[in-house]
Amino acid sequence: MVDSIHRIASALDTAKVITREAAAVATSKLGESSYTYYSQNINPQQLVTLLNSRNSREVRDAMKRIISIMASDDDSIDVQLYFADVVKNITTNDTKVKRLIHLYLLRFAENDPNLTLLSINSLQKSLSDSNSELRCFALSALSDMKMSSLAPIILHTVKKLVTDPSAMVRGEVALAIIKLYRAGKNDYHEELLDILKELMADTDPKVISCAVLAYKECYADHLELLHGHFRRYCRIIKQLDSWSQSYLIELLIKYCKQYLPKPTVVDKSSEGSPRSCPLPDKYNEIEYPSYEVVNDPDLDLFLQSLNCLIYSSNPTVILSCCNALYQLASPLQMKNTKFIEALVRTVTMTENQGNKEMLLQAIHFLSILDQTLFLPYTKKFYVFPKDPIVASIWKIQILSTLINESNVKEIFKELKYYVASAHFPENVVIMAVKSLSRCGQLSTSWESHVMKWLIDHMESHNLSASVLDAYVNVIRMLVQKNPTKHLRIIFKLADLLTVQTSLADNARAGIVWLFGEIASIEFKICPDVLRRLIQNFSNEGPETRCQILVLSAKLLSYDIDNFKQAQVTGSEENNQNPPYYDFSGSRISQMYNAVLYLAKYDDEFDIRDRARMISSLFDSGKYEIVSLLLQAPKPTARSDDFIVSARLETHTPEIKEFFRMLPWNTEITEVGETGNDIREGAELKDYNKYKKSFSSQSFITNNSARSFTSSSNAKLTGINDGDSNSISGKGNVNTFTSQNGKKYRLQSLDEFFSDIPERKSKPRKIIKVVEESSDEDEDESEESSDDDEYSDSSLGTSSSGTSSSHLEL
Amino acid sequence: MYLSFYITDTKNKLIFQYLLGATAPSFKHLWTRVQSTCPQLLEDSSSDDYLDHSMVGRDLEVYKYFSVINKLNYWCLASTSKSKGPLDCFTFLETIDRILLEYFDKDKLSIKKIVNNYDRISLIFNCCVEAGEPNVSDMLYVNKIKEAVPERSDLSKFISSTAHNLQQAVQLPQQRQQQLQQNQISRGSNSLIENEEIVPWRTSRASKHENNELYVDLLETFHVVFEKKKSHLRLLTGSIHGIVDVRSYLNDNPLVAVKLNTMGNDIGIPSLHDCVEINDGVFSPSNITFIPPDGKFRLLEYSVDLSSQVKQSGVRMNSIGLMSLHFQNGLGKDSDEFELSLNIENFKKVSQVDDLKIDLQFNVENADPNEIAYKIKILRNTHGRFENSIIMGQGQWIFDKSTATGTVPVLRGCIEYENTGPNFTKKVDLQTVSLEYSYIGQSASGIYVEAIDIVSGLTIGKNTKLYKGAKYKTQTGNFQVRL
Repeated sequence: MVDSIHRIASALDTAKVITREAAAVATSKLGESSYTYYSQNINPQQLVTLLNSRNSREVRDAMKRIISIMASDDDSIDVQLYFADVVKNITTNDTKVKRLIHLYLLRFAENDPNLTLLSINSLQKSLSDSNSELRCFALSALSDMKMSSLAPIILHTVKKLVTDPSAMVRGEVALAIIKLYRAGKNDYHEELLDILKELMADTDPKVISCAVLAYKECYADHLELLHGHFRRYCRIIKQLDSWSQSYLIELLIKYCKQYLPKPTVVDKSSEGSPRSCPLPDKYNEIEYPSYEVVNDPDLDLFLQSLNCLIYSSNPTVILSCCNALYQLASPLQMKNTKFIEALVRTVTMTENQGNKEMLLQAIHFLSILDQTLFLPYTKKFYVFPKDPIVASIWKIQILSTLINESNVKEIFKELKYYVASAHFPENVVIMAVKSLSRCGQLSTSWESHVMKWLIDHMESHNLSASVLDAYVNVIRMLVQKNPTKHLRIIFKLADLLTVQTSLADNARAGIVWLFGEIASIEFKICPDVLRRLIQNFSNEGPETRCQILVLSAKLLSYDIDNFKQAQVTGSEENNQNPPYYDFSGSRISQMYNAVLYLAKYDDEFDIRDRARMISSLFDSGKYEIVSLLLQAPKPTARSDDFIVSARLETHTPEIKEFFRMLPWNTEITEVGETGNDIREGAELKDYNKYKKSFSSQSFITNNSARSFTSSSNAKLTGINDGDSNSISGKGNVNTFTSQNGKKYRLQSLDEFFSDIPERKSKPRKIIKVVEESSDEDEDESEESSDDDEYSDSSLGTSSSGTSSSHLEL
Repeated sequence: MYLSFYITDTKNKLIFQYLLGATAPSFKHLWTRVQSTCPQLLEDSSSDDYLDHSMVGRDLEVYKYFSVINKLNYWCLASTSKSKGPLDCFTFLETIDRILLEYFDKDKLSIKKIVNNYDRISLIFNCCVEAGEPNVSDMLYVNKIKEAVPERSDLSKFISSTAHNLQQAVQLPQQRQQQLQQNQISRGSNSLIENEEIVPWRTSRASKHENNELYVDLLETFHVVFEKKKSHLRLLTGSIHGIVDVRSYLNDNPLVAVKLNTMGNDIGIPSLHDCVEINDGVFSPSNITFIPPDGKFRLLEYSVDLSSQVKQSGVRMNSIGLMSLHFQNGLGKDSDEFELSLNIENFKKVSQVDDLKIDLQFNVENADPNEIAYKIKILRNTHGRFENSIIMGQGQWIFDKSTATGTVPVLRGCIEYENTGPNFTKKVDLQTVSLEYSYIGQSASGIYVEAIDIVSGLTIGKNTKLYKGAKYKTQTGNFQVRL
């Protein structure tokens, strides 16, 4: 009876404690908003109390509050004042609190080095923890502190952990190398390089992913490190993290340029002896119409290994693969792979505006070099109504690079819609007008077609000044190429000057300028144009008035030259002609004087100044100088002179740098001439071989593509067995039971629920068990050389496991 | 190398910041700098001067990513590095946006959610960024992040756990020895299971689900531009963007096979999640096998090109998206009327169309917009209401929240000119019609999920059931009909 009462009292006491804790947690966890409200009500004094509490839940609440203040940039509380209280809690067993303290130290460790040192001892203890996540965290926290005095300690830790059995910890070692490298101590670079070499020889793809990142950030110039790993990395590239895939591709591109011979292009079109030449340095410059490329086998291995990345959802991987094909392959090889389709798919589907702009620039870059790459996808670059302005402008530029004889009709129609639609932004309209000039450059008939449409549209629509400027610029560009063939259109422009009085000033100025340019070809019409312009001189805009002045001067100059020419001819027949130009009697001279009179009293300072200059030239009688000045032929306007938007018509430096063609190393001898193969596989480091367990064998068949990873991960549990065995003899018995019981349970479940596909997979299991046994033999021979007690225990466990497994099967 | 990250709302007010060192500036300092050096960063994407990346100092660059789903701006400050690719920063910000959505298992992230989880999001950023770089040791998978930053338990689970502890406490004296043995066995078992990991996107330590559930959501956004030719519409350009999202709550480590029937559509080269197995390097949509990550993830994205479509495909070009549009100008005795009729096809799988809006754009021929004034007057309207836009020449036909399929809405209107003179010969015509709507039940391309199978690895007993299903949704991205 007394014992019963004692047991009941003990149970009630336990229930009381549990209930109190439950109430506390329930209060704080009723909801996220309620918790936030509670957290925000913690005042600074309470914060200190909570940080010094023995209750881990209160410490966590305090740390959450501090992190919230840091995240919201709240100035009301200076969280740096709690440095000592925060650092003190690094010894807690709560992993979340440790991580929160790490966030705090990340921000404030540099400001208070002395107090930060208090946390190092605790972190160093964690480096020996049996939990690999804690070891990983401790290394990350230590290397994040950015204190120069800690560098030797971290270096020593890194050297020790490079052989850690956990792939996660070894990966963290590579990331710690980056932090140490950036600390700026050159003394450690050589030692870090040695550690990195070890990591690059690892068999685990997770470690390779981290090692590639460290290699790219710190030692990208040491390309010789890739000698022994080139072929292996090409094979395992699919298993890496997608970011590391992109980094590795960029590194291997440089390696191929440096250490592999340049590909050879063989002409397949000739029937005689085949001609060949090296791949040209510039893209798309192969002279043969039909050719075949002969690559080094390692280059072929690299290019073929890219094919498995075509389904990647990371745009950086797709772009890196396209860069690899651009740098290392011929246009034909680029087309045969489907990376162009993947690139177009990526750019059309993404909603990331930054990526969209960069990818469109990349496509524009490649399309300029080789138009045929993107011809099948022309319609993908039509502008949608909801496209942002930046994307619309780049799409139109891509369309203009894709124009050829077969598709110009459709693209012209599409561009006309962009120009004519009143609802597109102005910059898009201007870019579309500019692209029309590319249509006109195909042939003379298209020139006339484009100009006619532009003039008709200019007549019938009221357009803004900048759009009109674009129209006139395109017309000028096309006319200057072949003026004599477009005189009818030029005459139409003359009518436009008279009829369309509402035309913008800059457009009218451009047309007047154009007549000044064609005066040398077709002089007859120009004086009449000038005559009609003089009547309305005062109503014109300032730019047009200036151009009218220049036009009149040009016409007078031409007339004087014509008079001199006639005088030379006439003097042989008749000496009675007057020897000087009749300024008072000439109509052109009278029009010039009228314009000059109006210009001298113009409102614009520039026009008055120019009028004085021209007047003084003619008054001085130096007509040769006037001719040189006014009649010099102007160079044909180029596309570069016509800038709609400087930012949106130039590739950003990132794209230029990314696609900069790296030079091939031409000093490489042929592989056959060299006795050694520098890319022979290097010796690998397999730190996972000390772990093995049968418990995950049944999962390996589920994913054949990842069998390498699964095999590595399947060996992770062995070390725990060792640790358990070393605790005590009784523990050994329990572990043996657990191991045996677990396997028995798995087999029982498999037998109980197996269906036909499951039964068919059993033969493969048997094969894998045999392979595992072979591995054991190898491990056994290695372990037998050790003298410590650990290997004996491990060997015993392995033998038992093997025996049990065989019995089960 | 990344120095700091910030999350702001559309008005660029700070919601969250994560600074990686003592020298990283807070958002206030960065904001002042951005406003003075490159104010174009503050424009939205519809502006001429839109800029999403700029230098703000020597060796310092700011990148900006706008999340369309969450309506949030993500910013990052990075040091200039010549080994950085042009897409790295934008893609990484997009990755973080996706990770936050998948971690909280939400369709949309609200500002309140972020404010309530400052510590969690800080820890998530800490997992994603290591040494100022993306954490490439598989830490960009959501299940890895959930291991490092455990989700908040439900209150009901906690109460159940408390009740269980109470029961154990009461029974402790009777079963002390037995309980001790079980605890030891359990601890050993946990230590074995702890590090078992077949694939990096799935962990065997995932929380156990009461029921096994697997759902496939197919969302298609179609972009089409038609032009009117006499009496029918001709497709100028068009494509369908499809997204297959999977929500997986399965125990153990199952191998799942999803069969997509593409109905003759060519989905080209889709982008796949890492978990999808590709046999011999060729992807086949009729047999997609994968070990699913736990929770929500994006299985694949595909694009169907409608411009080069063969006639045998499942897409009916005349009524893509269940809509047929006809409109006419020049009606009435004064030739100033127009009529717009919309045929919403009757489809048994789709009972209604949601949020239907039609934008009408009018074009002025041979006229100065400043010289003429007109307004649109509606003569007959069978559904919804018509609104004249503030901008001259635009109007919107707004339907109710839901519109039943199998109906033919008609809109007839005329253009009223406010100053007609004797020489007035100009006219205004309806030029472009843009549609915007969505519906549930059918994909635009006809692609559907034929089967969802659990090939192996899943234990199904009396107490556990398997629930699976597929859901389809179609929405418009750009749907434009030109005169």
